Amino acid sequence: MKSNRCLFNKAIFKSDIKRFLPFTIPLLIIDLIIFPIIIFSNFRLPDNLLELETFTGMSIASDIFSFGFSGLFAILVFSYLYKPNMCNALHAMPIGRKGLFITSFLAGYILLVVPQLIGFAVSLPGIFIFSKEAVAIVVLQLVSIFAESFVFYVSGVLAVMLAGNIFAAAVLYFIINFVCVAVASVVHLVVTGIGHGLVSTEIGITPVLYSPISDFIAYKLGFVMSDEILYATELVEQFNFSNLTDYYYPRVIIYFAVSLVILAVSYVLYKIRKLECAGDMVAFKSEIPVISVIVMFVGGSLMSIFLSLFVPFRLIGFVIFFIAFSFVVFIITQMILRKTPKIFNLKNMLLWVISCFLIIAGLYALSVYETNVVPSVSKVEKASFNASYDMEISDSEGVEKAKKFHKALIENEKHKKRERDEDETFFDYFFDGLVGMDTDYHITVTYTLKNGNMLMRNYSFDEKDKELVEMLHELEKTYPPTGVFDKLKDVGFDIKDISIYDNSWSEQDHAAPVIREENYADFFEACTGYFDKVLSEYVTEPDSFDEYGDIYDEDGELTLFEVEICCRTTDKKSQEAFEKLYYEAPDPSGVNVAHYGGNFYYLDDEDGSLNEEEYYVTFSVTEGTELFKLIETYSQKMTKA
Amino acid sequence: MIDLKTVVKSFDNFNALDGVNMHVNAGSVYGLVGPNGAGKTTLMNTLCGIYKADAGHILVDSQSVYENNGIKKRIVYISDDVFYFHNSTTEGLKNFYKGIYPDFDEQMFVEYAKYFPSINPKANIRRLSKGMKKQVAFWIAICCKPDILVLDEPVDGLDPMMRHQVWGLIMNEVASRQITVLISSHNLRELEDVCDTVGIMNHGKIFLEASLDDLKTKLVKVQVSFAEEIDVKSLGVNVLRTKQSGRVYELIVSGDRDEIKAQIEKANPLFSEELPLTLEEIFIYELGEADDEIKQMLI
Repeated sequence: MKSNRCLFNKAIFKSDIKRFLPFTIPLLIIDLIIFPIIIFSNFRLPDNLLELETFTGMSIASDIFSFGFSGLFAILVFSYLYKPNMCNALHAMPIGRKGLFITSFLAGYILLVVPQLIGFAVSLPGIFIFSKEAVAIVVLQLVSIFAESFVFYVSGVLAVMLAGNIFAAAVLYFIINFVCVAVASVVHLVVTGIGHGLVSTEIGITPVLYSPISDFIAYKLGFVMSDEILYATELVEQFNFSNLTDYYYPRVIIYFAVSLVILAVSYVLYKIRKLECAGDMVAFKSEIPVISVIVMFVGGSLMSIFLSLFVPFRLIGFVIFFIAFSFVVFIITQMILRKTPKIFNLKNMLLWVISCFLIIAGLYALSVYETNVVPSVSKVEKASFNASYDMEISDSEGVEKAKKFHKALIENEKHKKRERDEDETFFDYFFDGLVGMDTDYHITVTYTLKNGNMLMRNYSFDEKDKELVEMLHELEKTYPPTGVFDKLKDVGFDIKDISIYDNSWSEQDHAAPVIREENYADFFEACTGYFDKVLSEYVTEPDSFDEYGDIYDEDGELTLFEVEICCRTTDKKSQEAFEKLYYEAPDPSGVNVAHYGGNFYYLDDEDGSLNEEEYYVTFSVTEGTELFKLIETYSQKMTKA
Repeated sequence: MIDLKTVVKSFDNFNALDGVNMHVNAGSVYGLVGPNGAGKTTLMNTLCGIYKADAGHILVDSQSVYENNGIKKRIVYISDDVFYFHNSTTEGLKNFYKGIYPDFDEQMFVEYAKYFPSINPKANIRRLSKGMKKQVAFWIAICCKPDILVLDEPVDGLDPMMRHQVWGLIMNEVASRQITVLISSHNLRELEDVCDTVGIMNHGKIFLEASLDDLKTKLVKVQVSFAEEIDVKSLGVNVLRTKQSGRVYELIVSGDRDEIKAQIEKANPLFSEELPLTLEEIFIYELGEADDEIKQMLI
């Protein structure tokens, strides 16, 4: 305060703490609840899976509150920048911007971190009681939570420095934190929508509640702080701290380092910030075109891709909708940011035209590339085809054949077109175009590349397409598909324990017949018997089967969408196998029996209430699969009978 | 003491300060006069180091003000819109300023309480009237013992009694500690009694800056009566304005006072008397044809 080098002002710090202390009380209460639960959960993990869920839930809750309060405190302590009289008065005082920045920053961070420290302190006695050996890991957790708060808080400070008023600061805080995820998601969504054979799950980014900085790190370095926390808990189980030095510490350091860079940028922005911007939407005019284009891209794309789903000419539809919606979003954003409706000038219109063109061109180019990309043989470790079965090819000759088939699928996908039936309504024609034709054969092509990446594509083709069917059969001869129902056998319990239930938890379900054959053909024979009962119930109690959708169509033909098979066991080993399956199940899209471990039920034998002795896992059989067709065939046989 | 050299400050391509030159002597009371939007507040904000000038220099004792805590601790600024923290009391604000300004005189704060009897130091400032908030600002500002006091529309909202009181306190500081005071106002009459130097500002420029004493010696207002009607040009003086009522003339004349009197005496007037000039009259004639907007404001 008394020199130009003053970095901290006690009076301002005290004033900030005093004024904003009430805002920490809710955070303190939350942390007093969350922290002990998170920390105590650590020491129960090895024996109780539910504790893991509690722990994960609390971690996410901690993230959410940390995210909210970090932004709040960043905005509060720097809110003087948004009130002209307060801003002018403080900057007329003998405190440089450096001193003001550091003082306010520290005040906000103290307000954020102290409740966390108190929550931790309250939990400390428990840590020693439960496990003295794990103190180190709990301290590490605390460090990781601090690191996470720090990232959020710093991104809040950055938002504050870019904004001209409180509302804009809050909006920018969200934009900054989610812009990476939003842009990446929109790009993939659009490219998937306008490309051919692309799988939307390829996005590779989980749009969860992480700051863009952490998400950026996650995306680039494969690191997400919450994963680190979970990883840390595994270490607790094993009491293995050797990996920490190699894996955990560097990531926490990266978090802090990136935050410090953002902090430095925020400080520079504060230094060059013009104080007369107080009350404006943004602190720097140069932000306006950048924000406008980002919002226009995300907003315009989302609306356009949604609407273009309802038109048959998807690419052209997207372009038309995007031109319209991007313009609307662009001008609205400009009007809000400039706080005037007078934004229709040559400069702005040129900006919109150029960015609109570049976005459409960029997305189209990316979709063309993604549609046509087929990796070279030298880069492929394994090629897999998943339809009603799994087929894996790892030799180079086979991969070459797979590529040829893949290219044929791409060409078919590009030119696939169905003529509208005479008696078909326009809407039905569109809708059918969305869900695919009944006679379509669905196939997933997956390449596992030598660098560890995966390339997955989904295609469908008409079973009557001789050329494609022949190519597929050729491959099947050389690389016989692996067992359709091996996955069921993997579960680890005897097939005699497999039964089918109707989801109604009725007596009939509990008394489901047991299948005693050991091969799947017999299994389906047995299914027929069971279907007899189920279908008779359909007839008598049609309302109880709503979950299946319509079982019969108007003409009385069977139109099963889905059948669920329930596997029951009381055997401890089978339970473990269930757990294994539940946690280690492969990507469901790669197998014909989907929804592994969709539900866990603990059933009492006598009264049907839940207990921990019996296990049920539900599998659903996807329409169009071999299993589905077999069930359907037997059902029809039975119906005719 | 304070020097502004060709200072420019723009907002969205609008030059709020358009090459301002200004000089304020130490210990003087400088009145900055201009219509709304002339650039007075921008000039004060720039002078106090709040805004960074786009061009030019703002110097106090030959040192730049911007981000110079050594200089800024000698300056206290009271803006038109008084600053206080939400829910703060006068006592709390005093403690805040005490932590900011090293020369803050707490004893003085206690002593000066008698001049502000309507202010309860423990009352929430937010609940005070506009005039009372201004009183709080003056009370605390004076106790900071600044070398330079910058006041933007300072007595706006104060009742006549309190205006008198506040001016008295400021003049007392000027007399006892030779502080420099810079006051902005659009009301010239208000500054007439307190300022020794006045700057006229409009469109981001200072049109005229002069000591009142100097100005007053340059202009003479005389009431003169002749036996017959005359042509005032025949008097041989530089008459700026004539107001005639029969054979009685009210003249505003520029030039040396003694020479003017001598010339008028030569014309054998029935009587001749010098009248006091108001500040408005001085500026209207000093500005000449320069700025009708300012003239309108002064009249």
